[in-house]
Amino acid sequence: MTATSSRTAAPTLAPGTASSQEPSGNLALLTAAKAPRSLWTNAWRQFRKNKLAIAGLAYLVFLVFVAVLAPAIATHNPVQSDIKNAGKFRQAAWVTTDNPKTTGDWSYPLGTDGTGRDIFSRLVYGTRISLIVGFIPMLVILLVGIPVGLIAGYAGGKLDNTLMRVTDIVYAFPALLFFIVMQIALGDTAFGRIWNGLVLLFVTLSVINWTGVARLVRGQVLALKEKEYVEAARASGAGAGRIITRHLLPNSLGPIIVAAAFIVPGAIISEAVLSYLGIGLRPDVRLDAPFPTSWGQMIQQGSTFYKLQVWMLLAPSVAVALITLAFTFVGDGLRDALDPRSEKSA
Amino acid sequence: MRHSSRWLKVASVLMAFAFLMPLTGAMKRVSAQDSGNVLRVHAAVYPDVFDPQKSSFVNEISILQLAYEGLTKLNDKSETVPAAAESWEFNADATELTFHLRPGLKYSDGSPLTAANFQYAVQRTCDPKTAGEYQSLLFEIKGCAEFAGLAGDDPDNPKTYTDEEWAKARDAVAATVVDDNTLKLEFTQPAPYYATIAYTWVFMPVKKEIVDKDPENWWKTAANHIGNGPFKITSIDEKQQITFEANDNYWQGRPKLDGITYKYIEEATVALEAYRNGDLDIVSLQPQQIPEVQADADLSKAFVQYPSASTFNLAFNLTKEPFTDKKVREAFSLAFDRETYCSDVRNGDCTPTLSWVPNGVPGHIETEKFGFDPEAAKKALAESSYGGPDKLPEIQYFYNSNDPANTERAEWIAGQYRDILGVTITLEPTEGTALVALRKDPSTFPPMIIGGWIQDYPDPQNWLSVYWKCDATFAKRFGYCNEEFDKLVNTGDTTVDPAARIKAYEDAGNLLVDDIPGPFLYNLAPAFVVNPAVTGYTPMSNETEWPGQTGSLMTITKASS
Amino acid sequence: MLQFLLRRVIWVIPVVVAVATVTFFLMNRAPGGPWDREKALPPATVQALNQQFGLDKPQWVNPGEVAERWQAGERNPLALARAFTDSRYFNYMFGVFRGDLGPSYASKGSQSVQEIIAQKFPVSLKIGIVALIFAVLVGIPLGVVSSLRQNSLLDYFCLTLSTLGVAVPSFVSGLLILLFMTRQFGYSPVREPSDWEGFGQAFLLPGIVLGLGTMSYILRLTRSAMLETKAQDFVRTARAKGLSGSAVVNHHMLRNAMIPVATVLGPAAADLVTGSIIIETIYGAPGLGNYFVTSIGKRDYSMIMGTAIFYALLIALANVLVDVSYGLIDPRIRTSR
Repeated sequence: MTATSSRTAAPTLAPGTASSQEPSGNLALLTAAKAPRSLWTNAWRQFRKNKLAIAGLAYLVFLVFVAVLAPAIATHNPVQSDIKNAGKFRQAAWVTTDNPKTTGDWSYPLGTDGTGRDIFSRLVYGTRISLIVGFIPMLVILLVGIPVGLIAGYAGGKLDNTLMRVTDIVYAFPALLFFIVMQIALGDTAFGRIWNGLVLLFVTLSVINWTGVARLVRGQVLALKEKEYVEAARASGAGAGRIITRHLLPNSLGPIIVAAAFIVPGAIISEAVLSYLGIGLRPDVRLDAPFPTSWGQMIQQGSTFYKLQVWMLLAPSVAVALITLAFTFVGDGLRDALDPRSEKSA
Repeated sequence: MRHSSRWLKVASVLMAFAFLMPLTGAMKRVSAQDSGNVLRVHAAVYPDVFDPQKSSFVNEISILQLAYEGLTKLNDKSETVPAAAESWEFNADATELTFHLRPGLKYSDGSPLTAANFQYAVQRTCDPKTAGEYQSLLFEIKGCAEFAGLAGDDPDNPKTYTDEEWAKARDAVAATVVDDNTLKLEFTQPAPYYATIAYTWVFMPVKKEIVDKDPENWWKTAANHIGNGPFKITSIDEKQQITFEANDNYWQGRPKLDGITYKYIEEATVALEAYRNGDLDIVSLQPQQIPEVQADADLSKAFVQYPSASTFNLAFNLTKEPFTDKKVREAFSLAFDRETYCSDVRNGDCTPTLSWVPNGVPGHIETEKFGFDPEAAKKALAESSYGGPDKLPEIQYFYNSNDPANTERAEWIAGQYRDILGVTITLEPTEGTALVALRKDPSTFPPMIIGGWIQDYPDPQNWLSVYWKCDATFAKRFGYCNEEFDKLVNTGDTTVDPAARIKAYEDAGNLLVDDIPGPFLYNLAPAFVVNPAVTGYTPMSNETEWPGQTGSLMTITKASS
Repeated sequence: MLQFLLRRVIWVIPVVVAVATVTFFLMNRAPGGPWDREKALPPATVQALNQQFGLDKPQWVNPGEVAERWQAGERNPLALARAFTDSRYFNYMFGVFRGDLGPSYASKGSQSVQEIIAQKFPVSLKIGIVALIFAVLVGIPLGVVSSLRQNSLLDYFCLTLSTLGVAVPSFVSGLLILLFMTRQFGYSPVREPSDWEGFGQAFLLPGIVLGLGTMSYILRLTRSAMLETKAQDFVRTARAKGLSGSAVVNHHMLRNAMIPVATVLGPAAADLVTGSIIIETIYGAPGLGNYFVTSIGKRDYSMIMGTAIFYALLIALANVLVDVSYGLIDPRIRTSR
């Protein structure tokens, strides 16, 4: 389910949303023709009204701060195992047990793991990998997928056919199988070692997922380009570039955003699954290691020990769930904000 | 809106339906619990091959031991006792060994079992076409190494041989059928430990006519396993289960159990849950499950653990810097906190050791040398040719990433060296097969990796000569060679007098400790939960798969009588 | 339309060849080979096995063989071309075109890859089918309900459910649900081998767990599509004409909202059927996904290639089907093609 969900997310949305999202021509024409610039200003105004979306955005900004300031926030070194003092499987601070080695202690807010490392500090540092694993593939996917989709959809004909047949090839790779083969084949190469294997991981994620966005955008463009306002723009002498950036792209954004929001948790979970299969990121025990662990790895470790120390599993799971929610809210907010009809919809 | 209630109903009914449907499985439990006197044993890894002359892994041998039996066997004290052979004798200098089979031995299908069947087992093991992984176990038998070596040992340029040459070499293997009940082995040198080797799987008498029909894959079919063990295989479902039934034709009579079922369950949590649910009688525990089981009121009563005859060490590539420097090796041995590693990092599934031959095996030695001492470790590193941690070349620690639990262990080990010695260690998680390929020879052997040995037969020869001699497969891989050591074990291997023999091995063991080829770390202590209704077994040190698998097959039972 | 269909189906061939080629390259990049064992096999045996399976041939092309033939006086360009392609890659691909996925290395050639796929794939397929049915039957109604009662408690419940479905990896949800069912209802976690034949209840739990992610996705998709449709002109027109609430929901909103869901189903089905690796391991199902992981460990090259090709074929065909059916469902896109 997991690794594939990262893909199902994007491509499966593809053509369907195209039609349902399609703006009713007149309204869109008005918005687009009257003040193309104010589309974004309007959208922001609209977005700000959505409290959940703002909360989601604030949370994401907060996570970025946590990731950057991890050394200052973490109470312990995330790789320093200290069984003698920290005790292993120490419970969360508010849980008391008879054993002084495992009873809750506020210097270890979420307790410790099997080798006496502070869960809270690991969670804080884990934010880094999880954000990178979520964000960078998302950006790459969008940066490759959107142009390909726009060009294919707008140009049509041979170019469209060529581009789409290429996406067919990439699309046919069974996702999880491809992940496993990539990791085993390239994991020990110089490339596979960059940033503890993070680069290999998000290259793999990006390679698999961009086709979904490309198909999605193309579907949107196909539906939109026959619209009156696009015809009107073309008739008034607007160039292809202008039509694409001013009309087609803004009106395709809704479903793209929904898909993008699904990429992030999908990627984080894919990393967890690879850890479960033993082919995830390389561990790093240097005291100043920038990427000592990830939420995915923590979930994997927690899943074997949760009966002894439930926060080993709960903490990273909640973190992933929250980031998923944040992206869902921001995505919903953006979609509503960018939808020309949104003021009338509920 | 009014109409939403109808959709709500549809949704809730479907949800409930979806989650309740699997409950029809609950009825299954009743029948599963009523398993009679059949022992249901959890096994984690389905074997690659269970063909006596080809197998080499503990999970493979635990199947073969039920369905077949060699000339001798081990009792629950790890002593070599009569099995298919009721007696045996060496000649004076232990270069000839004669086995006397029990009269009237039968296979599980009632057909007669004679010395010729055991001769076939020996010949098949030595056959270059069989290419079993334990071929070299029989190289002390005259003609065996020559037969196996027919094809040469250069992979790019194998020698060819004719059928006549092959037949001639086979007949030259000195396993002679004297009469139906007598088999004679002749050795190239004195081999006083050979009665013990005759218990191993390579001596198990598979039937030639069955093997000949499909030499590669005959063992995949249950009906082809016509054996002479206390049980017979009745069904084989790849990666799911193997069932055994008591063999009425076993020479000692029927075992107490009616049958045994091996259930293959990869996910340890699921296996333990199946035990709780009454679906399994013996579950082998992963180290990470031990604390959970010990903390559980019910499970802790079923907890069974005992030391096994297996030793693990931190293997170094001795042909490459920095571990060519003995002082560095000393520092790494002194900086390893074996107590904490076993009790906390491995959750108590091992006991620390500082020597190679495990306690309980003849030739075991006690030593205090190079145990955990952080200060001495720092000093040793400072005394090395590198003068301290800063000038050391990059050290990579490889580990098998197939088991995710290894990550935490590797992190702890590297962390200890970082904290105590100030050494930076790069962790190299490597997939199992890739690791096997790397370990093939010294040019690619990892700088640092956990190595180890699980005993084949309880004799120091198996521990010392097979592993550490200059020309041993294993020592060659990481580049250990000490001629003085070789001399000592050669003495042990060929000495008939038991006391002198063991003394030679003990000296060799001490020499090994002083060489620090790779710090000795721990002996595994396998842990299980065993249904308290299971009785009549004494766990022994070579039973790594389940307690009772070797020495207690006749007596173990689930029936309350 | 027929021409379009034909073109797309023919294109499946190069797609599969591309997947096979990339897999072949990556697989051979992986360290270790099919005969690597803890205790090494004798060199002569390895050599014999390599010969038996053609692993002694060069990986991509065989110029050496051409030179040899040329020296021997061979001038027939076809024969020389064949000699040039007497390599592991081309020999395998020629086999594939003859419909032969080769013998499985792990079985030392006694079983063909087709046989193994035919034996293992039905289990994966059945789990995938259950997952798909679950995802649709639960995802759509919940999506409809949560859109009709936007911002209600129920809507938030659905939001939570779908978030968990996406954010909890299957190796955690699979285990926790299994444990819950065992503890609460005495569900037996152990299966008999015969349970996986036919279409019994053994497939239900793994199928449901596998389907959780897709269910969440369909739920969100339905909800968002329903909300979109709600605001559209024709729905308002229908209401204004006095149609009852449920009629509007059933005939107008749902029908339109189903278009995106319908189009997800193809790729989702392919993903579910090919994506049950973890679930199969946890629930001990003898399916192809689980077997694939073992094959990688054993470097069973032909089995790895066979599985990748088989799955690529499935996905590519599902993709064609989706595009075709999509044109049928939504006439607007069809005209724009």
